[in-house]
Amino acid sequence: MPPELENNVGITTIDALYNWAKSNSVWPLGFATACCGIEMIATVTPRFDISRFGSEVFRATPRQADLMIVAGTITKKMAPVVKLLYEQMPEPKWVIAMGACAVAGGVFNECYSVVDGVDRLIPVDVFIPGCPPRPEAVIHGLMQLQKKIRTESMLDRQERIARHLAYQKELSDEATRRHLGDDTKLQLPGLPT
Amino acid sequence: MSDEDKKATPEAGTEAGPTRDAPTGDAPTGDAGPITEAGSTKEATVAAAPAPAPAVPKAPAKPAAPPLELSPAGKALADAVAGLGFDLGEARPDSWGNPTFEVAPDRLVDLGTALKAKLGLSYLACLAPLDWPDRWEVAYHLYDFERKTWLALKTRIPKDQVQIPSVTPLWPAANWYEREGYDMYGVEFAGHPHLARLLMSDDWQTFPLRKDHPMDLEGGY
Amino acid sequence: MSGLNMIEVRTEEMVLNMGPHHPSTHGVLRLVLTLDGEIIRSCSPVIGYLHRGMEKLAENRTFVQYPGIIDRYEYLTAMFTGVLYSMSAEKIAGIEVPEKAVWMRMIMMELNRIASHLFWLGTYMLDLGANGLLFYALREREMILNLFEEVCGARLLYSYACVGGVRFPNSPTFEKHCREFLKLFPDRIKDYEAIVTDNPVFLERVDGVGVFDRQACLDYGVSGPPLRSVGVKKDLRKDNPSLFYDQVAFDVPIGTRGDTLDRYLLRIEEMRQSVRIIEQCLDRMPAEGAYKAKVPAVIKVPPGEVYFALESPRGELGAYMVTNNADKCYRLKLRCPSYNHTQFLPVAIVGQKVSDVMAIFGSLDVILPEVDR
Repeated sequence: MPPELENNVGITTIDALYNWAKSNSVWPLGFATACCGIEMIATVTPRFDISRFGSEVFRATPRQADLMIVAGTITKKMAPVVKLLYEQMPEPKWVIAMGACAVAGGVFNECYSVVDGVDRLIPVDVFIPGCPPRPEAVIHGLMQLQKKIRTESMLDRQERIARHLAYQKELSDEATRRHLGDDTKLQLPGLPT
Repeated sequence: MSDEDKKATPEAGTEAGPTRDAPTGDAPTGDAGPITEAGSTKEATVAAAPAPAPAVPKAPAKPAAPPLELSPAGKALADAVAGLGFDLGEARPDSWGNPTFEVAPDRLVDLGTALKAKLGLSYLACLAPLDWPDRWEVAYHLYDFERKTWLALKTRIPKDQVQIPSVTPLWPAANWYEREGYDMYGVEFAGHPHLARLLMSDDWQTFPLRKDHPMDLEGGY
Repeated sequence: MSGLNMIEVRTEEMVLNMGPHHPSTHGVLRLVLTLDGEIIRSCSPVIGYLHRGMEKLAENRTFVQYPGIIDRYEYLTAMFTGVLYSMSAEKIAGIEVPEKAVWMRMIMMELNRIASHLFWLGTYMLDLGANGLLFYALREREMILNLFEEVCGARLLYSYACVGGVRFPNSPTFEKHCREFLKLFPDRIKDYEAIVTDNPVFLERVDGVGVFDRQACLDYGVSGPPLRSVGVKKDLRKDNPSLFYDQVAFDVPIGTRGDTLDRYLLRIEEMRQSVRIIEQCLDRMPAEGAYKAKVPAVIKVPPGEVYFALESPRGELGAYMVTNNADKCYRLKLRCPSYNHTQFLPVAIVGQKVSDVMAIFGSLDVILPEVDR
């Protein structure tokens, strides 16, 4: 290396560079169903300020989002919508299950209308327990996700997608039977007459 | 307002005559056992109604419920309702002093029309069906802006019958409450404009709030 | 001109689906709108996407367990729901609540009213396209949450009230911190008003928009600020006082025009009145005394029924409770203002422009878990 470039050039892998960029600009989908959504909004406010981690850009549409923070209870009526939203997100995508309800149904676990955890529907990367989790916990969960993103490799991406698809197929077989009845209900129910 | 008044007054007047002895006259024709009982023993129902819960053992050393009495506003409203000429019996207070009246299902709409036209009770605060072991019960809570109190109407139908007249034409607020009642209990409100599932999805099969419905539905529905 | 053939333009009505995932519905409401150009011809709300079986849970959880769960029913005003449930049970069982606990409940409820209105203010401005005020409003809300945290350790769902009183004693520094907040807060309201109330862009969006009809409001059971905006003076704190609301002085503002601006102004004024109430409560609260009545570990409520209601920030928050001499209620029907407001929404927005839907819907301050339960 020529001596004049010694202090100006760094050597790294593409993976490291790519992951560094990815992990610091995780744009979440503003998907709030219940109480946890309020704490998710509180995370954006100056006291906690999630923008320190590059994730303040809450998108309204799943097509522009990388991360789905499932904040709140998922009911059986809502389940097809959650699946649809997840499938509309472009790869690479991650999911955080925020709060006891999204993790395992929470206090509503026994209820007839509640899905016992969002991982019955879509693959989840980070679980944040709490009812509701404090904003600090959300930020901690995000940092855990960033850590996970930094370990990924571009070469594994195909494998990751394949794994997701396989998981989803397995889930949809099981979950649709359990929660949704049959495949036809995966579409949004029609307009009321 | 005055138009409605004029229209409703003769109607209510003519209705009040024949229906006055309806509870005793009607009941024997249908096999509505609980209704006859309810119609004749109005005062005993507070104590008697909650009794049929076989699962709960009677706890002897319990602090008894405090004696119930109507609030002054509730008393005034109960007197006004009694003045309408429907033979409703004596008002029963609930624990906050609001008057409660029992009414037979076939006189519910007549009574509601009279209440709305003559006493101005156009504000339906709450509508709640109940599932008792021997009967369905629907409680209507109306708010009186003049006397600042609620009026509760209660109507009951036997278990094998799930038809009850709808009050949505009278109080539009009842629309969703009745749909929810159908959704949760399977009670059918006859005359409702659009009696469909409200909270559960359209293809849901069961009536979740019935007492024989389990809390958890393992393995879907 | 006469030689020109007018081209016949045929328009078709368009069905537009909003939700259940929509940033402005504050939850999971779905609206199916039929549009003729920009005018809304019909609207049918689809609810139930957050139906969690609250009423079924009430029949399966004891009087000790359920106050913790009912907070989730109305999470922005969790203090109210806990008090509502506890007081319904206390009315039936005839449990006397110590004086100090009543004052504490009132302080917490009024603080919660301010917090709820602040959250509404921030998110409503967000709906109207003003991002900035969310940060101001939630800054003050965090101060209130600090007070709550000091007393019961939670930010959002407090489990504060329980049958017989409140669950936690007062922290020694609570009164000092609370008074500091009350001293500072009226100035902050002036700040919001300086930013918003006379802002021409804001006025353009709300002034004269969504004028409600008085009789329609009564027919549909609308309550709270939307009902007061059409000039009906119904505030359960004045009309059917529970707790010690009959012993404190405060005013109930009512509107004259019934439009969206009125509902905004009412909520701002209500925050000022809440400050007044809290100050009086702090003055009159006894320093010593029990914060909880002596109730057995397993609470059994004798047979009875009650319809009990509180004036929550959204309106008449009621509960119809039937008990059965058991440790659970036999039936709990939750009467929620947002339910009626959502039902009223089609009446309010048919004939309006589609861009005003969120301005009107936001002004009703609907919160979805309350609708779906």
